[in-house]
Amino acid sequence: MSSSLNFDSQCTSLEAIKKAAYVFSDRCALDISEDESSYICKIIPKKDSTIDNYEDFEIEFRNEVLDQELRIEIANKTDGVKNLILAFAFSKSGLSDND
Amino acid sequence: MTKFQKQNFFQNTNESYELLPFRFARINGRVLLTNLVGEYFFTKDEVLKSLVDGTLPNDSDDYLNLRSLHFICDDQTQSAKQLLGIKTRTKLSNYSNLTSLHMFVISLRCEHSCPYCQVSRQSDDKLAFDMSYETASKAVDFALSGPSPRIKIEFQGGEPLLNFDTLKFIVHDAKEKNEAIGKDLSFVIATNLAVITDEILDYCKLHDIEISTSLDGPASLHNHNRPRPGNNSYELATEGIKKVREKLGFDKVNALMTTTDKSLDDPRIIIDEYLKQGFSGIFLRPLSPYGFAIKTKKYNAYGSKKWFEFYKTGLEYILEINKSGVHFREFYSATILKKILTLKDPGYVDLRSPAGIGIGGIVYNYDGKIFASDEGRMLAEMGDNTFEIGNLATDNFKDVFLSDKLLDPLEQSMTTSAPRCSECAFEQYCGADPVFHYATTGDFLGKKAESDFCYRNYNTFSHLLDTYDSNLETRSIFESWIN
Amino acid sequence: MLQLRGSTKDFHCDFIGHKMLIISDDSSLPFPLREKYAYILKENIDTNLPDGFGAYISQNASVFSTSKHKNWFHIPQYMDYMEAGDIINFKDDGSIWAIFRSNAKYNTFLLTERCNHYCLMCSQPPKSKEDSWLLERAMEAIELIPRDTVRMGFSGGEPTIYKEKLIDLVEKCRGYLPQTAIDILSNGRAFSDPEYARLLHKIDHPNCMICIPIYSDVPEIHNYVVQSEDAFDETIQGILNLKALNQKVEIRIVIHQQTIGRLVETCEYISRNLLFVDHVALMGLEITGFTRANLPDLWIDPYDYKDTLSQAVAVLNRSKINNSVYNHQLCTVNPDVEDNYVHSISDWKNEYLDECNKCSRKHECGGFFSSQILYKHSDHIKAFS
Ligand code: SF4
Ligand code: SF4
Repeated sequence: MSSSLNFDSQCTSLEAIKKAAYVFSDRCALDISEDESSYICKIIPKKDSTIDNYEDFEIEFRNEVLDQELRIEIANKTDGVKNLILAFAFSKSGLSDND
Repeated sequence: MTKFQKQNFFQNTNESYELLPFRFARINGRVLLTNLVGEYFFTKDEVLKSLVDGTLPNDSDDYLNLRSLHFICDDQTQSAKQLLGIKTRTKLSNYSNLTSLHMFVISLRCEHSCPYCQVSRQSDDKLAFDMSYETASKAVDFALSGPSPRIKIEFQGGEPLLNFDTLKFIVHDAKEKNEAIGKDLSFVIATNLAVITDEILDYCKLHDIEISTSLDGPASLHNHNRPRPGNNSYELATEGIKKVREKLGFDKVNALMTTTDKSLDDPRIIIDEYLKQGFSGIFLRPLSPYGFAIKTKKYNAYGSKKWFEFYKTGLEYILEINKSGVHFREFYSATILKKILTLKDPGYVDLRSPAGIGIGGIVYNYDGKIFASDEGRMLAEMGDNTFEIGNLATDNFKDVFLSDKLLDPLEQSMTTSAPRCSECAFEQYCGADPVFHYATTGDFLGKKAESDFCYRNYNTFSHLLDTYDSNLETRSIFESWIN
Repeated sequence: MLQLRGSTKDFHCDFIGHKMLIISDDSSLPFPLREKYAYILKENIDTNLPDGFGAYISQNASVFSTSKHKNWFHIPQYMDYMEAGDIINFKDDGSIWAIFRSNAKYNTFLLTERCNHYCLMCSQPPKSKEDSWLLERAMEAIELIPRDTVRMGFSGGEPTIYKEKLIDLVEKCRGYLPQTAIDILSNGRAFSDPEYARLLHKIDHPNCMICIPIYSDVPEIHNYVVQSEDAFDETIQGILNLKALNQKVEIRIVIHQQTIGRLVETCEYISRNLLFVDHVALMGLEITGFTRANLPDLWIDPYDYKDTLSQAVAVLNRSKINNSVYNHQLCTVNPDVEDNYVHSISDWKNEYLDECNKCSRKHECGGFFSSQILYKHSDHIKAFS
């Protein structure tokens, strides 16, 4: 048996869907296609997979996609400052707690 | 007095703030946030959302705590970025002490015939399976030529005591050569204690050598795991522990358990055995994949799920013991908690990124081959030489540490850039285990969604943080473990 | 409490301005040295005063009545603690000032009363008046201080307002008193200028500790306590600059109503971010200066925060940060902080209540500031049996 999930491509990024798919890759593979307004994810369960309730799985998966969106947003907002901090870390200011 | 301004005068009127890099995970209905250096904060989903939206009110407790913990900064706390930089640097400097653990496999021979052991040989052929003086001397030179100011030489086997002559040779050779170098040199023998004698103990006393032995649980379990002629491994080990304590001192012996599927039935009887033997703690060790997964090259979640239950039950039981007033540690948790609560790295080989192979410890095999880790040596015994990173006959320290055979797995397994790990809230506590992943999946990085290693770590981190953060009594027990 | 400054109506002097001298009771001091010393006559007897000393002091005025010597001062009763080795500043108006006491465990030099903070609990309320003569006296005194002095301190006000001149003082300490550890109390903000931190570093004093308060991990609270906006970040920056140059830094936290709420978090902040500081001082409230005016906003009974104090100490101990608890009474702290409990910094503020006379641990207890006895102390002072 297989089933599919749709995501509005206006408000969901493909990246988030892919990352979520990766998280669930122990249980299933996703076949992602696209039409003019949405991403269509076909769920292909793995052999001896533990997906027994597709509704629960859908909720879990959608939540994971949302979390991944949030992660992407955090990463976008903090990439610049992260580089700044790493620059501090590798600069020769000489201060470290283990010195 | 009117000269003084009221508290609200100092309230920041600029309500904007800047997010600092952080990651999150969901644990038991709570949201865990961890920042760039692994400082953590538990909160609610709404707080996470408004935090990211930029709408967290700057007089709320969440705001104050998140700012102090360097998840955000504002115009009052521009120093946060520099402080995070310093903390990052501190964590990186943990890696500067390259390789202090040197494992000398001085004999593959063993009088035990443990089924999970891939390396030992039942043989009297000293020539074939013992380390020669010549190889030993080269291994000592190699070990002393590294940059670490501390060198710990661990004698391994098989049963290293079956080649006691080479052991003595190495101790003398290392001490003599070290006189000019002046490193902090120590020795430990990993032995099942079955063949220990008074003569050996006198020698250990003279040279301040410590003993590390195996104790898998009570007699039934231990003897089941460790068959030998006479079926008395347990009796010999516990008598041996007693003898070592009498001769060398109570704390000169520690014990490690090997976790087999039979151990998983009940951690409590194992813990009871450790208590009974007077140990101050136990290491509820992860299941070694080498008897199970490697042979079949097949991922098997069953093993690590069962282990995790075993671990949780064991930890719970140990906490009860502590609550009754007996100080008894669980070393695996203590190691992880140290990583979570401090910037110091306890140097646990499996929880480092870059991986601990080679850098955390290095193995000199009886025949002169150099391995990046003990597991790498076992893999080689099973016919795969991927982690054979050099040979004492031809290579020096620098050759080995700059070789692609070591650097490739280090580089390819880095967690900072790995899928899943790079977004994982636990990445700062976790590590790379290229040997495990190579053995189970064929590549150094492995797929974390399917990885036993990831399952075990992810759940252990969640469980420990959740337990630490929910209960004051448990908290203070955990804190006493990391000192 | 000892009074370090006094005046005498009965004196005679032939100099203009001031003169700083060391007290001596040695009537056979070699003649060439005598000029730098003030001879003290302790005995209430009429003897011939030895010639050639820079000044003469006694509590007995009659010895001077017949004296042919110039520069004598009849010291008041309340300054009878004066003894050989003390450094005294004499002024032409008859006022005298014990600037350094040889028997004190610890001498502190007030360098200025000017300050860019206005702390709620300041014990030395800032004044704006020019007072750089205080620094000048300290500079003079350094030449006279015994070379074997173990430790001494400089306080304010804010000593760094002197900029380079403070650095000169440190340099002079290193020159004259290389064995003596010095503490400088500062809010640290001046060191947020890396150039200034480098100036201090260049002196290379072997044992100079900058003692800097951080009252909270929350900038708004710290700023409120010190009554200055933007203080927190600058102070942190100052500490970082000093430690980057390996300069010793102590962090001081005065515990009161405004700081107790986040004391544990503040110690956690220190243990995560400033692990490299050399010492953390956790100090009880002294009831002087501004504290008395702000007492309702500051007072909290130490007995009521003893568990919090224990937690704070535990956090610091766990991170292996040296730390000490000052200005607390033993009966108001939990036994688990006793390893960090410090009897007293200076030796002239240990006073006790009646209750304390029954106490078996009085000798281990730091007791009270006289201001605490006078105005406010814990309601839970209870003798150990
Ligand atoms: S291995 Fe798993 S637990 Fe560890 S960092 Fe990667 S994703 Fe997280
Ligand atoms: S009773 Fe007095 S001397 Fe005793 S501990 Fe309390 S304050 Fe100190």
